[in-house]
Amino acid sequence: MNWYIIYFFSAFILGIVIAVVLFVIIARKVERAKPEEIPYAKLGKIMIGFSILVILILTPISIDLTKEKRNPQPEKIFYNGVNAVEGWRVAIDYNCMGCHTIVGNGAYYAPELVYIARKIKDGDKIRALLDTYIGTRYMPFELTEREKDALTAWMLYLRDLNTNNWPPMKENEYSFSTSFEKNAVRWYESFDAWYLYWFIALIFTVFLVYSFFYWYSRG
Amino acid sequence: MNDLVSYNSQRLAIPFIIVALALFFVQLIAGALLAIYYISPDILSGIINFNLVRAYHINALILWLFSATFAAVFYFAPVLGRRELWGQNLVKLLAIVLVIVVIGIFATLPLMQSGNNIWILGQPFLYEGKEYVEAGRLWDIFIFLAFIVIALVLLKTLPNPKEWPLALWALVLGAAGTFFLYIPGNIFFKSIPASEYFRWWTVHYWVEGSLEVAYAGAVGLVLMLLIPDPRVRKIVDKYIFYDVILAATSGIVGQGHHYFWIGTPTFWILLGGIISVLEIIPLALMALESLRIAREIGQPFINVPSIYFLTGILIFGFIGVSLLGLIQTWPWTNWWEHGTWVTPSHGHECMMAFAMGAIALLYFALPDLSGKPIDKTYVEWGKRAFWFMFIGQVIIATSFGLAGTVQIYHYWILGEDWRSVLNARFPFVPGIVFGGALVFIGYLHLASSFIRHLLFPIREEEYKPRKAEKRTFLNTLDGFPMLIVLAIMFALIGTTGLWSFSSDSVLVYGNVWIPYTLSAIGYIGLAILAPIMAAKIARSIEYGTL
Repeated sequence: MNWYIIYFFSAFILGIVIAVVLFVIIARKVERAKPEEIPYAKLGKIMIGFSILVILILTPISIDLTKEKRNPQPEKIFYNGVNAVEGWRVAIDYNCMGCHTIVGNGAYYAPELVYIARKIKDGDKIRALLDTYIGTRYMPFELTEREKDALTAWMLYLRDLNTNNWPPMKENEYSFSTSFEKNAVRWYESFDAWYLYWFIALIFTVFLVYSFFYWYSRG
Repeated sequence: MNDLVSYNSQRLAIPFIIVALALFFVQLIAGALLAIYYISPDILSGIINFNLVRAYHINALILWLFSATFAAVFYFAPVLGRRELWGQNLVKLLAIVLVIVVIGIFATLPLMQSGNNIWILGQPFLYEGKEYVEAGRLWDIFIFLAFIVIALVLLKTLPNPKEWPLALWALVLGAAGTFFLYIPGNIFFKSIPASEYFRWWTVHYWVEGSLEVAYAGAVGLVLMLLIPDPRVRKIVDKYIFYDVILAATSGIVGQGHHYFWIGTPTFWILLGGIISVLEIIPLALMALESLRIAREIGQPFINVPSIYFLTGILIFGFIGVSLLGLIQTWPWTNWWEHGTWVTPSHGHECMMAFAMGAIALLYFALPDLSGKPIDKTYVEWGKRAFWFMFIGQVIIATSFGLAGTVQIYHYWILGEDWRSVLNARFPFVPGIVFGGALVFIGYLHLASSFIRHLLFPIREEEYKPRKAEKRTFLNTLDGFPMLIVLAIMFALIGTTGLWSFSSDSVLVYGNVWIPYTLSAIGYIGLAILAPIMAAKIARSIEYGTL
């Protein structure tokens, strides 16, 4: 059984139930009171503050500003002595994202780069692929040897990103739920910490569902 | 004509309207070129590359939304401040600078074909090379100056912010937020997760935060100006208040649905998944509340095109933003659809919702600005423009969604090479082309009615709102709640369709008809419901048969 689904739906169902109960209990009071007497404005401001707090706490964790890293460092990945960061600069200069997708984002005209890198795996083969396509009608521009090496290094970096098993492949059993234990580098990424996020999600569910009933009933 | 006092300086909004219309044209032409690429890639390759055309397609949209918003600000400010605009020469200068910036952006983007970027202090300067934020740093500085000018003009024209209605605050803060949120997405980060993380701050917080708030504010101002009744102001205040609170609380953490697979930790799968599903709530409430306001006002409107396009925001907000978004926001469906054509099916309707908001504002302002009455042709062309654009966009979105479902199977499960994947998607390309052609015909109606109103004398007599002869299904709100339930059901069927890719039945036994059929029911069902719902709302307001 996939535990994440239980986490997911229990937050929803419990959140909606709590919101409905709260609404039924408070509803009568609300109907009698004048708008100014209702503490909703304060509650709303608190909730906005809470969301900003949540995102501010989660941001440094998400982008690997912590001591333990989840993803490889692009500065440390080289191909033929050329760094992956330089490859990312080349990718920006030629706007690779305008045709390809990178971790699923971008245009959908050309293949996903993480997917290619994971399928081919080997640096030399990636380099050979670049040689095959650059300068043809598929990629109609010229690159120097150094730029091609840089792009290869960057593709190797993309290959090693910890993307929670995405894209779907046979190698990851077409499932992301296996990544929860396998790829959890730090304690707050593992399943053990999910009750924490479950609780945050529950708070938001209760607030938003309650707000819906509240505003709708006030007309 | 609206019964509003007109000010001369309002006419300064006209250049911004023209820039917006011109950029909209550029966007559609770029879209047509993209379609040509999908039909025959060899025609344009090497001359104007796909990534360049796509950069035009997106940047033209962003710039014309900016321009239309500027126009709305300069149109509303004098009416609200009851005096002429402050700094009129500054506004004229701004119009010139805007044109220079637009030309500058479009002139520097082609450099990406040869990779001739300039890097200063480790940051790209002429263009940024990332989806949605392609425009260069150099031009961002000009846009920043433009926003300062607008802030200055607003503060001087409306000197006392304490007396501003909440709707104006929403418009101003939303516009300011739109600019400031532009910054994080532009910064160059060495790591892809950080780069993508902050790029979504720009894109997601635009559509889910600042633009939503700004357009809610603009719609509120339209309502308040149409009906100078203190009761309406009260309703609008409430509406803005909860829209800001709910959009912020669901949108800030709901951002997480972009963080499932970009190298960020696993907890986003729970947080982003649950809270982004709840993003439906502010939009649903907005839709319900707007209907209620319309019912309360209960009188036929004369500026019919404006009402139609406002309806467009509601329906695309509900079907395109909420329900097409719901289909793909669950982690277990997003897992399959991420990086396929299912995503643009949602994206195109989302963006059209904002585009329709901008068009509604332009239609609202036009008769006032040109000083000419609304006549029958204006109304007829406007309605036709709406229907062509609306149905065209629905066809585009549906084609993308179905093609994306097919792509999932061929690309992820069968693991075919890219050329076969393109072939598998190809049967749906004609749908996209056809939809795009309809949108373009709609644009022609829109542009010609604007040109006619600005340049030519109007000889027909003023349009009289007419009452419906009899109540039919398509001009009343009868059975509307049922349609909402039906729409949600179709969205859940579509969700099941994408989810069923994970089942053994598809993965092991290859029963691909299950996801295909479910997706087809979901997408086509929503496509049929969208115009029906739009017709019911728009026509019942037009004919006063609410």
